[in-house]
Amino acid sequence: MRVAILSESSADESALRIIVDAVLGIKTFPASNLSLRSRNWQTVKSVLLANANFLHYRTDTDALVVVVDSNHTYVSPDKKENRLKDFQKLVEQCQKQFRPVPGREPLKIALGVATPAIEAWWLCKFNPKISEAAWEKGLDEEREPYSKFELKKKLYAADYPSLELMTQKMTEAAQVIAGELPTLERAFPIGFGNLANELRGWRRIGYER
Amino acid sequence: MITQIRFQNFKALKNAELKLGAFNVIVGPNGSGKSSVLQALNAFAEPNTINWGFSTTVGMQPQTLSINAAVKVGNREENLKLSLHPQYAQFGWAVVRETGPQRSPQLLGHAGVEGQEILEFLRRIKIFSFEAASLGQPVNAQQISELQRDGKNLVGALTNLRDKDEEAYERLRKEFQRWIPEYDALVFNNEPNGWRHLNLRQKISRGIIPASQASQGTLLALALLTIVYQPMPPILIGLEEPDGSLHPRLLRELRDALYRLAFPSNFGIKREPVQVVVTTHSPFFLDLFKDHPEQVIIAEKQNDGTATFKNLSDDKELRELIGDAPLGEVWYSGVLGGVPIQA
Repeated sequence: MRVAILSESSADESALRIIVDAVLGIKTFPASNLSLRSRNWQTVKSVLLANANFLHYRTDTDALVVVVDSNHTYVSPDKKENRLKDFQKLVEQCQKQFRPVPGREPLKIALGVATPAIEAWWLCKFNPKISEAAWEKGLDEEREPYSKFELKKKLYAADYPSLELMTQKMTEAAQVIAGELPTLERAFPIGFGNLANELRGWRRIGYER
Repeated sequence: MITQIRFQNFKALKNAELKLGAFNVIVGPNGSGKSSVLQALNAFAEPNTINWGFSTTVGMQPQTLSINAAVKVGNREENLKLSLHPQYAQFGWAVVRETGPQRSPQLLGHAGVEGQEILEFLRRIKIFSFEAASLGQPVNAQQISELQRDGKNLVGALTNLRDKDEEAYERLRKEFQRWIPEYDALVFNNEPNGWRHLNLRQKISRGIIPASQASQGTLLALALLTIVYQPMPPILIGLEEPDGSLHPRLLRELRDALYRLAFPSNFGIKREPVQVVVTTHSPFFLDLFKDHPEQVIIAEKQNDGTATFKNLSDDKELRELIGDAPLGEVWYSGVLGGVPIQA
């Protein structure tokens, strides 16, 4: 199965591939001759439609995984400032406008939102205080239970982590958490839960390529 | 470390002050004084090269460049104020020490061992403004070993590194391959008359490309890595638009490489930090400094043609005002200043 990953950095993408494979239970392959890259959630948002179109019409890619950070927004459905909902609308828009392409199924898109940043996903196993609920409670009370900077410092053990170090630490952590997906899903039932459910939906369809 | 530069009638900088930290990225419109900062720093390393530029106020107002610097003199670190005045140019090394035991300004060239130590510190300021044509040039192997300001002698600096610190050279080679995977080896050719040429080997075809025919971005990447891997780096490095011809995806690698110079202990490297001053016009590059506003300096051009500087971290409400928006985009939008004046 060919799965393209669009996230906020190449380090995120390496780690997410491990998680995607763990949820699907198969080894996925990147889109042929294509390396998607974005720089932040805003650019993911602005290129998503174009990237999805390109993958759908011009490549043999089966699916696209999109993961962005929530930063100071919510993922809970009852909240107004909701990054998950915003991206879900965008994904829906992408999928609605796909025209059929002979010989292939429409591109599938799975969406995840990491609260407040993807580092939280990799750290939740070691610190049960890191969770979607803790972050959103903090937002309600106008305080940060932990900062993005603290999460980064904890994971990379450096004030100025290089991309190389980030990739190494993230992939190591993703390999650990890939063996404990229920822990990740318990801590991030909405932002990661959405991604996991959509991936499991593909598994039911059955991709063995 | 140089903590402050003060400009009086130096090019577009009529009366400006710039605070510097360990790592500094300067953004601003053309003609706002970014290059003048690098020229001023270079003037302290090589006072005989100083060009004060045209100023209508000459004759009425003094022209001065001053820096505040923490300099190791003997066994102790001293906070010094050093100045350059055009009227002292006839004395060659016309750097004047304004602070110290003596009451009146003292020409460093005449200040004995201490003066020489301070001058030595200043000579270790290196400013680079690379030109593609210079980077690819062969050099006479006997003449020079250091990378020159415009990028001349890249081949000499690389072979010097290879001969003196094989391990560092090997790391440079591997990182270059990561940045520009099209090439897998650097090949040096020596002519019998002493001229040395740099070539690059293409990974797939194994074809040998003379450096003079390699792309500007490829040579720029190699020159930047050559600076980063020097075993005895300068005390301060100034780089004029190092992102100029690099692919935007390489900007993160560029920032990481420069951070290794400025914050070596963060990367497990045992050596003195190198102060870094970089100019840029790239919103993509600026995005990478959102978490460190203390490293960003906005150069502003005023309506009367003069220029000023402000440190982004001086704005205490900045983080709240910017929110999640990318720093480069916010700067481009104009709210931070440092954009061209509307005609």
